[in-house]
Amino acid sequence: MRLDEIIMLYFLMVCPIVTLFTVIEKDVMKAIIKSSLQSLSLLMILVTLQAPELVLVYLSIGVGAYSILFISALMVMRRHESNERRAKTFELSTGVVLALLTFLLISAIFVYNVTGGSPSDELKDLGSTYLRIAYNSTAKEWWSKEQRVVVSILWDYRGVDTLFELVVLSTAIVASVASFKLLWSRADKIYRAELSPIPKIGLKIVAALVVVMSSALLLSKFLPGGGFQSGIALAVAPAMLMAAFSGVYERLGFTEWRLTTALVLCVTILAIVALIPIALGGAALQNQAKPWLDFKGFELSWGPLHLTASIKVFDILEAVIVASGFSLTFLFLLAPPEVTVALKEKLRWK
Amino acid sequence: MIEVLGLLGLALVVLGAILDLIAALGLVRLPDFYTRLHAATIGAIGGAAVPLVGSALIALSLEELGSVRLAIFGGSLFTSVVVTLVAPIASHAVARAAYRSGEVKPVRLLKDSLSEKRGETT
Repeated sequence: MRLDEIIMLYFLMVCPIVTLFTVIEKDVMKAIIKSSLQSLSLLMILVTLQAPELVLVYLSIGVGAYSILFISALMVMRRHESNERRAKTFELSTGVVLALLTFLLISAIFVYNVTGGSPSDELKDLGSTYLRIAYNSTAKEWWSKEQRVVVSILWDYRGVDTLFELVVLSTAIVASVASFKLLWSRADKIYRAELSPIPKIGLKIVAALVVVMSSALLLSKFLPGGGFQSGIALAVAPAMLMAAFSGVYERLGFTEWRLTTALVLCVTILAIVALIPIALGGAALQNQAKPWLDFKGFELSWGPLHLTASIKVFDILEAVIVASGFSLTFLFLLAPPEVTVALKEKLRWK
Repeated sequence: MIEVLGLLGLALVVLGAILDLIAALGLVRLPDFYTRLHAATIGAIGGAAVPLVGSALIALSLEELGSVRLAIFGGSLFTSVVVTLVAPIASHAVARAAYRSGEVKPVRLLKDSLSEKRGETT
């Protein structure tokens, strides 16, 4: 047994024990310290697994930021101070967290050479494998028929991962909107000011251009892009229009009901398209034909356009999901001040 | 012809750098908010949109890039158009907000027609 394996085993045993002690601890302050100890033992496991970037992130967030935030929250809760002192404590703890993060980011520059130097010219094995197989029409066993290799990696070779991320994103957005909804009084009665006609007309033109740009990111073979990038670009258009038409943006059709419906509908269609190959004797998320599977792959061509089968469908759906999700977030971020005040009062944080 | 395109592009990039310098000087030297906003818009249009047209022309002149140069050309031109449209809108909105909120007093104006008009109507 090698030394690093022994270290890893040791911390693997320590970690659940410390977690158990954290859970049964009655004193909250001691529980916070034990929780950071648990984070430290996880950190040691990551060190033995040779994942230095994860160690850096975990050190700053798991051990540093969480503990300081918990302790400062505890101080705010326990002591009955005047508002001024409380604000001071909050500012102090925020400052400490920011200083810690700044220190870690600066140290990252020196330790990992984040800014200096260009990436090495050598191609790693994994990268060359993807480049060799992704658009190789002479050996179609593993090819994905997609010219943009990054997109094919996202949907063909790591499809489950991307699907899971999308589900997490949309669930998080729907859940936060649902909890915000409890505080969201229908804002029709509240007066909201619009911008003057110049920004309104100008931003309408720019919004049309943004739609063109995001569809170019989605469909072009040359521009680097894909569903997520295109969706983010597309979300800029409603955000601009909501800002310009802040009084009447609901008249433009961006209601929370429609956006949520688009989000949920697209996730559902995406799941169905991912599962269709199973019904036809293939594998989930399968795109092109594989010699050992019955399903012969999606073949999509609309007139002169030869689309990359299911990857294109996934990409379009992903773009709609991301765009509607972010628009939904903007819709609630642009809530009138009365709603925000009500939220702050509920949270008792002034 | 191709060389002329490249040289024209370079000239536009250099012009953009000069305009950016003028805009920066204006931001430092001009006396109040509204005149500084004027300088900032020079920086946005002259210092961003003009060099982007230049980079589009340079990309068009580099034949060794193949068909990728068309993508760079289109992207640069598109961004230039968007900046040209958005920068005046932004400065208009900022100026309007500053005037209407009363945060910035237009003390150096010789004549304020807008306030006269608003005074008449309200």
